[in-house]
Amino acid sequence: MTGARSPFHTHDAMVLVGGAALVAIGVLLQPSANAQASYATFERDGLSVRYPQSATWFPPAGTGYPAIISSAQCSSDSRVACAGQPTARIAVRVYDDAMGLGQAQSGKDHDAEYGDRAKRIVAAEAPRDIAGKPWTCMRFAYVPVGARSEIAAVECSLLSSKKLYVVTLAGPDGYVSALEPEVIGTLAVTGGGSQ
Amino acid sequence: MSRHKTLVGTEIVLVLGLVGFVAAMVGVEHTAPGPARLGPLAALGFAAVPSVLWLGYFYLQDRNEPEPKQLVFGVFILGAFVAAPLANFAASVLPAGGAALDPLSMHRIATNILVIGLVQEMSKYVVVRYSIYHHAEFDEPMDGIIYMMAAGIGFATAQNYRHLASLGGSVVLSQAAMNTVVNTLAHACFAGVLGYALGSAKFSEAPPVARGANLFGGLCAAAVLNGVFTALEDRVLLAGVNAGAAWRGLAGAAAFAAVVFFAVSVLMKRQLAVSPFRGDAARGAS
Repeated sequence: MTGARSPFHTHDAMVLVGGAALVAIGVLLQPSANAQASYATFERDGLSVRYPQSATWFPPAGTGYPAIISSAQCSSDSRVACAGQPTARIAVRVYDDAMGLGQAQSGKDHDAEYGDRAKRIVAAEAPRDIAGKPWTCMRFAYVPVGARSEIAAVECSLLSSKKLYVVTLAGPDGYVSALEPEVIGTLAVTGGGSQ
Repeated sequence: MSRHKTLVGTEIVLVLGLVGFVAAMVGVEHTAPGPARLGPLAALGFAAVPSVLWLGYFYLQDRNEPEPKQLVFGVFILGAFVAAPLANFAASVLPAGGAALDPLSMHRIATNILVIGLVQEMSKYVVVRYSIYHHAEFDEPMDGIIYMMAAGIGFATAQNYRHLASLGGSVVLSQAAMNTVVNTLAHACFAGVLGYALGSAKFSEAPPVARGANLFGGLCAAAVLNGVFTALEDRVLLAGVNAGAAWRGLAGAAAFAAVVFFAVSVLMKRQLAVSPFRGDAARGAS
């Protein structure tokens, strides 16, 4: 066959160099993709929580706790079709800890929400400085109600000005790792110091 | 029974085997609801079953002058043990994708094509181009598709095993079976598109630059298909607790893979039609 004698054997640099150049362009495009992601802020009781500003992320409807910021991606009209089946979510709880009861209630709420859902601790509680505040964060996996497989969660809590702030980001691994810097990494509490 | 009838019958058995694999997993899941725990060997078997069936199916498409089985299997192994680790290494070295969370956003698709798609398809290309491409058995345009598909199926096997092993014992069998079958078909077909260009370029009388351009076009086409498919698959991975969304994502990915499969079938017919062994096969069948 002609192929065996063809100079083509030594002339496919175009493919490798061209492919590598396109990959480089793709890598350069990535930071601009990150920069374009915009976030909204949920504020309540002195706590500010950022969440993705998009048509598939919904802030909490009521004023009570837990305040759930949820995401869904299963329909073009996802608020209608998927509100009960969030893809990922951010749960915000704020307790009055004036009598020291907030932490006990927080533990009960946590157990009720995640404790019997095949919860698996991934990383035990550890201190984490977020915007100058000494938060305590843990990682775990659990199986949400109605689901058949586990999802990842990061939960951070802060005792400040006699209030206990608890924020839980949960969802598929990809979501949690992508969102954690912007959601957990930017938690802010105004007023008061840690106690 | 003629050889043609035997081949068609074998193809039907292989496709039924794939359907049966998914159906069996659905059945197991109904018998024992909830996520299953797959050990390393079980995960390997789970990933290998669709690969063996698809490899058999596509091998049978080489009607004129079937390639030696050991060479096709060797390229399959190269796809699993060289192309997949190579692509994973490159992906780990390159900066990770960011917070563009919508799987179907233009930015995400663009980076899927330009980074994931190109890296994966170039990895498959490299193992074929610098191994079997120079072999005397690579002697007709159709061989480009067959060997690239073998590399693509090997690649998919390694990726599927890696994915199953990463699930930490919480494998939804029905979805995992469907995902494995579709993923293997998709990677085989993307590689087949590039294989079409590879086979055409090797046996073309055009000057080297034109062949290189042909090959580069094939790489870009495979990368685009790969990137779009990855975006559709991301909908499954990001569906999380939403089982409905996972199935919708799978259905979208399966439909896309089916379209590419039919396109590759057309490309295979074209390569078979220009094969120098076409007359031999016709004589053998009669």
